[in-house]
Amino acid sequence: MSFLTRIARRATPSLNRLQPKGLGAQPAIARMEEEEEELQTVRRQEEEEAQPLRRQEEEEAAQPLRRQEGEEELQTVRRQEEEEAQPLRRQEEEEAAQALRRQEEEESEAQPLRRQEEEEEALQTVRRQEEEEELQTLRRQGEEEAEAQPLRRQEEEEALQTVRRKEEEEELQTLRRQEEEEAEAQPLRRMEAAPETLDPESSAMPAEIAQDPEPPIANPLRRDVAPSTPTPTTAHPIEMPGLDAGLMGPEPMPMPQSFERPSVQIDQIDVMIHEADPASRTVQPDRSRALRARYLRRL
Amino acid sequence: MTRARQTLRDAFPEARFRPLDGLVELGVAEAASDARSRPARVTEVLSLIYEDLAPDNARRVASAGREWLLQKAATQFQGAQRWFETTCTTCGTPFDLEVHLDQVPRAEPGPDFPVADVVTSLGPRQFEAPNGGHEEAFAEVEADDPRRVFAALCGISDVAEAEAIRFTDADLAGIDAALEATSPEIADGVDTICPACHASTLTRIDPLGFAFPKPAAILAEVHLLAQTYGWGEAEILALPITRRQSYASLIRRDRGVRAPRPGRRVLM
Repeated sequence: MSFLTRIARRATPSLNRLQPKGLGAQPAIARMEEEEEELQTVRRQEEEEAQPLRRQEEEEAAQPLRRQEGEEELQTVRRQEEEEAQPLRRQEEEEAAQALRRQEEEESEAQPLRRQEEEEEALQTVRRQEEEEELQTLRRQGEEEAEAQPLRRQEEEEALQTVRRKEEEEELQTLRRQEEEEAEAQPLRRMEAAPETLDPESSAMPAEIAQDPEPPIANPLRRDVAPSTPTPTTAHPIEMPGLDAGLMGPEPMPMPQSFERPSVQIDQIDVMIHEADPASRTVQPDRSRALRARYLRRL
Repeated sequence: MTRARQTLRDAFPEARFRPLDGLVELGVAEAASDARSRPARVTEVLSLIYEDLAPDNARRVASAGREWLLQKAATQFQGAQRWFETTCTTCGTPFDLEVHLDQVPRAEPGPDFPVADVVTSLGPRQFEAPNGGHEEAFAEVEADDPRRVFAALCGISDVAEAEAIRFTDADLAGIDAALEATSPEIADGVDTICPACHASTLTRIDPLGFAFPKPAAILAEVHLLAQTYGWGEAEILALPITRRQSYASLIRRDRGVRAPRPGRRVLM
C-alpha cells in the first residue's frame, strides 16, 4: 500500500477497527444495539425519575374523570343493589312485622297475668316493707328501752336519794328549830307559865288541827300500890324520860285540897305539840303528824 | 507564484494536555462522535485536548504527527490499555490482539521534511508532507486515485491542482515515494494472521473509535449529579473527571443502578 493511500485511508472510516477487549470483535450492528441499550438505560432512568411527576400529572388530570366515573359506577351499583335488595327488604319487613304482631299478641295475652303478678309483687313488697318497719320500730324501742332503763333507775335512785336527803335535812332543821324554840321558851315558861296555859285541854285548838279527829282518850291505868311503896314526896310526880328536869319546872302541880291524892302510874301519854310556825304547818300537815307520831313513840 | 507551505516542521510536536475536566471531556466526546469527517474530528479533538494546538495548528501537523497525538490522547482516557480484539476480515472470527498505544512504532521524517522535491513530467516540483488540512480536504472529495488528489493538495504551486490532473502515473508514484521518504510515519493499523483461518487481516488503530467517552454517558452523569445534589451543568462539568465519576458511581450504588461497563463509554 502506498504512502498516500495509507494517508487517504486515515481520512475515511474503517469497518474493521481495533477495539478494546470484550467489545471490539462485535459487529457494528451489535455495537449499535449496545449503544441503543445504553441510551435506553439512560432513558429508563429518566423515565423512572419522571414517573412520579407524570403520575401526579396524570392523577390530577384523571381525578375529575375518575370521580365522575366513580360516581356513575357507584350510582349504578347502588341502583342495582337497591333493585336486588328490594324483595329481600320487603320479605324482611314482612317478617319483622309478623314478629312484632306475634309479640304484641303474646304481650296482650300475657298482660293480665303480668298485672296480677306485678300487683302481687307490689303487695308483697309493701308487706315486706311494713314488716321491716315494724321490726325496726320494735328493735328501736327495745334498744331505747335498754338504753333508758339504766337512766330511769339512776333517775329514780337520784330522786329517792334527793327526797331522803331533803327529809333528813328538814328533820334536822325541825329538830334544831324545836330545840332553839324550846331553849327560848323555857325561861318564858318559867316566868309566865300559868296552869291554864299548860293545859292542853283548855288551850284552843290550832286551826290546822281543828278538824283532825281527837286522839283516843287516855284512860289512866290505876293499880294498887303496895303500902311499902313510898309515896313520892317530890314535887315532880311525873317524870318524862328523855326530858330535862328543868323542863318540868320546879313548881309543884296545883292539887285540889279535898282530893285525896291517888297514886297513879302513867304508862302512856298523848302529847299535843303546838308548833309555832303556822306556815310550815299549812304546807305540810302530814309532816306534822309524822313528827307527832315520832314524839309519841319516843315516849 | 509559489503557494505557502502549511505543514509544521515539527513532525511529532510535544504538546501539553489541558487539565481534564468535564467540559473538555464533553467537548472531546462530542467532537469524536459527531458526523463530520474523521480528519475534521481529529483536528477538533486535538485542539481540545492539547493546549498548544489551536485548530489551525492541529491542521498543520503532519498526518503521522496527528495520529501520534491522538494515540497519546487516548491513553489519557483509557490508560495503558493493552488488550484489544478484532475480527478476521476473511472468516469473521474474533480474536485478541496485544497493542501498546504508547509504544506504537513510528518513523521519523526525512531531512528535507516537510518538503519533498520531485522531478515530474511537468518539471521539478515541490510537495509538502500531508497534514491535517490536507486530510480534511481529501475527505471532502471523491477520488479514484488518492495520489492525484494529494498531488493537487500538497503541491507547493498555485497551479498544483491543474498540474495534478496532468501528472502521469509515474509522476504520481514518484511524488508518493518522495513524500513517504520525507514524511514521518506512525503505525495506524495492525497486520495479523487470523488464528482460525490463518488469513492475513489488517485492523485499523483508530482511537476515535474506542478511546474517548460518549456524550450520552457524560450527560447522564451530569443529570444524575444535578438531580441528586441540585448542582448546575457548568458546576458539574467543572469537576475533575474522576471526581464526577466517583459521585456518579456512588449515586448509582445507592439507587441500585448498574454502572455502565468501562469500555462502553468509549464506543463509537
